[in-house]
Amino acid sequence: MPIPNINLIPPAYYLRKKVRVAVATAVFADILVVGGLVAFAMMQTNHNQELKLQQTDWKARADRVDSTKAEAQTILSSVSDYTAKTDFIGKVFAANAKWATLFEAVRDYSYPQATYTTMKPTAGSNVMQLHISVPNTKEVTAQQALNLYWANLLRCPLVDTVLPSTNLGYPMNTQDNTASVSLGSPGMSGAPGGPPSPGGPPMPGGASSGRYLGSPMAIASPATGGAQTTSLLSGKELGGIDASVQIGENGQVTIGASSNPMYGFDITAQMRDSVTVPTFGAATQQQQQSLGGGL
Amino acid sequence: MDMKPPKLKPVHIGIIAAVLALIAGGVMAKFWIMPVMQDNKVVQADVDNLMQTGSPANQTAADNEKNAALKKVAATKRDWAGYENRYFRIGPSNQPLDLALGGNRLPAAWLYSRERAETLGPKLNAWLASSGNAASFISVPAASVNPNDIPKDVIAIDFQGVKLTGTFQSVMHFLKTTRSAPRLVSVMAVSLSSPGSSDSSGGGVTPVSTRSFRINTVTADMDLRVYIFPRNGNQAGNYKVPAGAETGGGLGGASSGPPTTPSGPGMIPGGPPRPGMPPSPGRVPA
Repeated sequence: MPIPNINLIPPAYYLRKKVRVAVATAVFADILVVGGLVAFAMMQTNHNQELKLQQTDWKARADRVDSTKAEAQTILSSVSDYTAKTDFIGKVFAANAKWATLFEAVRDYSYPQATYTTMKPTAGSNVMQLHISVPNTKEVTAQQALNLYWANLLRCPLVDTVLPSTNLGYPMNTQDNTASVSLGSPGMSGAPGGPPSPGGPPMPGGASSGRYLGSPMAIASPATGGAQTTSLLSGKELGGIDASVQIGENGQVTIGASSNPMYGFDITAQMRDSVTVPTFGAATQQQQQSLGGGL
Repeated sequence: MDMKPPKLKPVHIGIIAAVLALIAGGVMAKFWIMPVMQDNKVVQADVDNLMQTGSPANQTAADNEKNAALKKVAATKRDWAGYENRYFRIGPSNQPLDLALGGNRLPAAWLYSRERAETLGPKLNAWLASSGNAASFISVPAASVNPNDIPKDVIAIDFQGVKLTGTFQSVMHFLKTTRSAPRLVSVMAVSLSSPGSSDSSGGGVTPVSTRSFRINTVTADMDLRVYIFPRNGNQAGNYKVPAGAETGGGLGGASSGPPTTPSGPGMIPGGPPRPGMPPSPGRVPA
């Protein structure tokens, strides 16, 4: 017969034991948690200290770089006065030479039979005023010569446009009567000339006063061969200039006894480039002495 | 043996322990861990930035920049010395216009007035003539120079309507070689004209349009400006001449005579040279 297992220890005893174990476990767990957090915090703090050491080190290096750069700037600024002057001198020489560049560019793209009487570029502007004269012979009419001149000039890389307003004078040197006509768009691809624009005022004459002749018209595109274009002089008779001068329908100028078959034109060319004359410092600091040349 | 049951059961102990752990963790996180981590973030960003700025590559670049600056300074000083010797030594004594020379501006005024009266005109005329073109004659009117009025930065002297007649090529060459001028000369404006435009023969000139240039005489009508850079302009304010003493010393006479070298046809000879007044004794160094 089995002996019954009688437990006389009250349950509270076990409960207290469990509680003691639970307390110990809880304390241990809390210590673990807090310890872990402290360890993590310590690690972060150490990392922070390391970073601060790195920061100090790199800051010194960065300061050294900045200081070297600042030193370079200080060195440069120590001669900024000289630099400004030498730069200015270089610009002066470049601008002086650029005048020649513009003249030569226009010359290189000029119709050989045209002769210039004036070439006047404007400083600081891309406008160049030109006065040319072209022959008017049986072989080459003034119309054709002007077209050729125009076509050539528009090929110049430095020339942007040739403004349409021009003046026609005949004959040169003796009787500078003028007629105002218009030049249209160049139409290098063969299209007809552009829309007409008002002609300019008559140019002051020489011996006699100018005569305003002709309504605004478009000039033929050089590439069209005149087939679809309106002639500069078509149907116009330059009465009062020379009784023997007749302008035919095809633009042919017939000259009678004239011994001076030259026509003069004022051309305004818009250049792609211009001369910018440099000035040093503020204008108020300069002593502008217009002494003038004793000429 | 105490046989009374405990007031707290293990589950309560667990709950209390968890709450305590949370409280301790929260407090530590808020007041220790989080600030440190936040600071780490900021410092790390700063370090990254500094590492970029202070990198060896940047240091090398900065060193190169400094070396380049040193070279540029040397080159600029050399260039300037060359320009000064070439263009800004003025007057018969051929010296820079130093506004601080002698402790006041009288020597500078004296030098400047002699430059205008004796040196500038002949030198410019000789230069124009040496271009191989016929040039108009430049004369420089004498100026009453108040030493205190000498510009401290730059002096600009204008000459308008200077004419140069020659072949198209030689006139273009002149414009391209203004470095050869005795002073710094800026061409402010220039226009070309053909003398043949008023030729009674019918204007039979082709000055610039033909490439053969058989008859190609052109006249360049130029506005020129001569620049003179004084020395020590930044200190000029310290060397003003006292009121009442500005006119001390002879400040030059009228312009000089004709240029020393022939300048070809078209020149208008100037009058005989008229030297300026001598300086007052004791005021201006000889």
